[in-house]
This record gives sequence, structure tokens and C-alpha cells, in this order.
Amino acid sequence: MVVDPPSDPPLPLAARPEAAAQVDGPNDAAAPDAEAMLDLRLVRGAQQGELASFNSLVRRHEQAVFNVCLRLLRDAHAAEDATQETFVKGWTAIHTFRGELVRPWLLRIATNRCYDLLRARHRRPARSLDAEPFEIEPDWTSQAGQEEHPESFAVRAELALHLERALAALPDDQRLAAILIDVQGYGYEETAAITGAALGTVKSRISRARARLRQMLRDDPACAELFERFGRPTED
Amino acid sequence: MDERQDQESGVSPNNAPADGGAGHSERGPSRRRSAHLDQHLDTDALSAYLDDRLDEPERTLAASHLARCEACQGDLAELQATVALLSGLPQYRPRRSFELGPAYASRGQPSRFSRFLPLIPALRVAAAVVALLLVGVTAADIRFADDTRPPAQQAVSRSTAPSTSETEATEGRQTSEDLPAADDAGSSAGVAEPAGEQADRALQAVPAAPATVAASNRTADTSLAAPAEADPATDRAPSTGSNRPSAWRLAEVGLALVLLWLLVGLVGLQRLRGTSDPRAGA
Repeated sequence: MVVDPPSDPPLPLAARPEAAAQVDGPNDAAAPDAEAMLDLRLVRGAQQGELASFNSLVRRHEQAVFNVCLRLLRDAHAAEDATQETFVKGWTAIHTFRGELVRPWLLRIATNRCYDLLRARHRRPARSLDAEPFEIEPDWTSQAGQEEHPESFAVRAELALHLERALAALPDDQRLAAILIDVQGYGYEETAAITGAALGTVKSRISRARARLRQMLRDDPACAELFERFGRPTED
Repeated sequence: MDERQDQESGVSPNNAPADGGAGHSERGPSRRRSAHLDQHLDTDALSAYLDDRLDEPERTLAASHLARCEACQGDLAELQATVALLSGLPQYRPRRSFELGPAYASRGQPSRFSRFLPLIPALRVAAAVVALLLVGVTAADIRFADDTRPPAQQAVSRSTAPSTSETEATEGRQTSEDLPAADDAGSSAGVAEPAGEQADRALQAVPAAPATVAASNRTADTSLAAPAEADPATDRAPSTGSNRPSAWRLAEVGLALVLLWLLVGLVGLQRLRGTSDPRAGA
């Protein structure tokens, strides 16, 4: 099996167009700065007590916060509650914001809240939500810019279902690392800041998470062949 | 290269085998690099390589190995596929907005004092400790104020009217007629001394008796004029060289002020917490 020439290392995740499009909008070098500046202006307004400024921040970041909560909690209602609580907490604690990036700051609040809920859920496991699909229809339009063959898309969509289940089977810390780095496209440093873990710990978690996910996809007879086909390099 | 050897070594040069590259003439890192060309990449190394998180020597080493090792190429391809699948997972649009309603503009308005909310338990403990200290200091003040008064007054009286005090001490009683006489002698401290000694005796007889016992003895044994004369003497005691009573008072006042400040802070923070949304504490 031959993959991309090793002398040409793969593009880092943070620089991948599709990941950047999902997280920070256009993959333009100047765009993140402009986005961050706009966030900071809104934060200043919110710190002055302007609820409208804070609600602008909510609109800009609610989808990212909700998706992290949803994949961590695997329950749409719980994720909605956690997202709402994140923004209420963010509003009451906006005066503690000190020049960081807004989204990681919000995600730190969100992940802390999700961890609390997960701990409570582990203490009294009423029902397992891990194997259940989300109650919300996925939005595939974020990858609509790429010309993808319908068959390839069908394979990917089928594998996505299996991968979501595999994600749910990961330990919480590894799942969070995979969600933040691979799904949401954050860098190691940002993930370390969000989770409060050391950089080496983040590297270790994402490595173990990827290895386990890969193993689960390979071992699942329902998707092993699809996974092999997906990983096979296209022959022109 | 069928066997996966040294899976945990990654591409770290520190894990070079002792005999690796012995046949090469290169020295240092070059020799180690030659040794690692034959070692498979572990998951950490592949993951870091995928994210371009390896140092330049390690990345070169990994790339050189991958160019020759089909097993590692397969592992990298599967890992790459896993990451591609993860980054291609769909996003989910929230079913509703999470904007905060107008009620939050007043109820949840951020306060610069909100950062002190977590200190409420500590403030409670501090207030309790300070209250206990205040009670202790007040009790000690009452206890020692009577212990310290006689020696001070004795010292003063010995220097001013020793004969009078000794006479009055042996008599043990003082009449209302004696007090003006002593006062006329120009020694107000001498006037207070008998009352002080009586208080001292009262304390020796009943160790736990507070000043009220001494005061009652004093008023019982002396005329109404005696306390009137003794009080100015007590007030003048600090000015005669002993400042211990005033130190106790200062401690009491200081502790009372600290306690008051803590209580005001506690009440304010409790109100602040009450006005904020209960879900904000999550």
C-alpha cells in the first residue's frame, strides 16, 4: 500500500481548508485576526453590560459550543442545556475574560460543564446514550465546497455513523481530544488551554484516541471493508 | 520488514540501539538516523508526523523510514483515513438560539464583585474565627483589666502616698470621710488604691469573678463617692505608664471592625449570588 510521498508530510489539521472552514470561517491568514478583533470588541461591549454585544458572541460561537457539547454528551437535549448554561455562565463571568480567544474560553466553560454532567451520569447510569444516533439531522453542507463523488460521499456518510459510535466508546479525555483536534480543528496548544491539560498529555491523548478509533473501525465487520476502501489511495 | 520491533521507541534518537549504524562511518546524529531507518514508527510518532508536530530531525527520520517501510505506510494511511473521517464528520445545527433574553440584562449583569463569589465559604469561616477572637479578647480584657489595675495603681500610690495606702489596706475599710481627705492630699491614685486592693482580694477569693464582683464589693464597702473617685483614677492609669488596658481595647475595636467588614462583605456577596441566575453557578 502506497500513500502520499513521505517526503511531503500531510498538511497539519489546523491548516486544512475543510477544518478551517468549519471552525474559523475562510482559510484566510488575515481572517482569524479580524475575527478575533471583532470578538474582542464584542467582549468589551459585554463587559460594559451590553447584552446585545454578548448575544452577538453567542450567535458567532453557539454552533461550535453546541457541537462539542453534543459529541461529548451524546444527547441533544442535554447538549442544548449545557450550551445554554455555558453562555449564561459566560455572561456572568465575562468580566474575568482577559484577552484570550473567545471560542476556547467558551469551550473551556462548556467542557467543564459537560464533564460535570458526565460524572453525574456515570454515578447514576439510567440509560446508555452511547449507541444511539443523535436526534438532530447532520448538516453536511460544510463540506459542500468540495467536489465529491456521490459514491465516495455515501461511503463517508456510512463510515461517519460507525465513527460516531466509536467516538462514544472512547474514554472522556480521549474523546474530547479527538473532538477538539480532529473534528473541530483546534491545535494542540489551544486544546491544552481548553482542557487544562499539559501539551504532552494532549499529544498522548490524541494519539491514543486515533489509534483506538482506527482499531475499532478495522475490527468492526460492518465497516472494515468500507474503511479499507476509504483509506485506499485513489488511482488516477 | 515484517516484525514490528521497538514499538514504543517512536523516532526518538535517544532510543537508538547500541550497535545501530556501527557499520557506517557517520558520527553522532547521522549514525543514529541510520539506525532508526530500520525501526518502525509507533502510533505517537505517526500521529505527530501526521500533524507535522515532529522536530525536523525526527520528521526527516520518519520520512526516510516511511519511504522504505510498507507496513508503516499502511499504518499511516489508516491513521490518515481515520483523521480524515473525523475532520469530515458533519456539524449539527442547533435547533434553537442560545441568545440570552432581556431579563439577563439586569439579572445576570456581570458585576466586578462576582469574582469574589467563590470566597463566600472562606469569608464565613473567617467571620466565625474573628467573632471567636473578639469574644476571647473581650473576656481577657475583663479578666486582666482588674488584674493589671492594682499593680499600676500600687506603683503610683507607693511613690505618692505609701503611708496612706498601707494604713488603709490594713484597715480594710474606707469611709466616705476618708476619701475627700486623701483627695485633698493631692493623690487621686491613692484614693483609688483601696478600691483596687479590694477588687484584687475579691478576685483572689473568687478567681473567676469578673469585674462586676469587684465593683459590687467596692460599692458595698465604700460610699457612693468612692466609685466616683475611683473611675477617674482608672481612666488615668494609662497616663501613669501602663498601656495594657488600652492595647486590649485597641484589639477589641480592631477585631470588631474586621468582623463588621466581613459581615458586610458576606451579606453583599450573598445578595449578589441571589440576584444572579441560579443556572449561572453550573
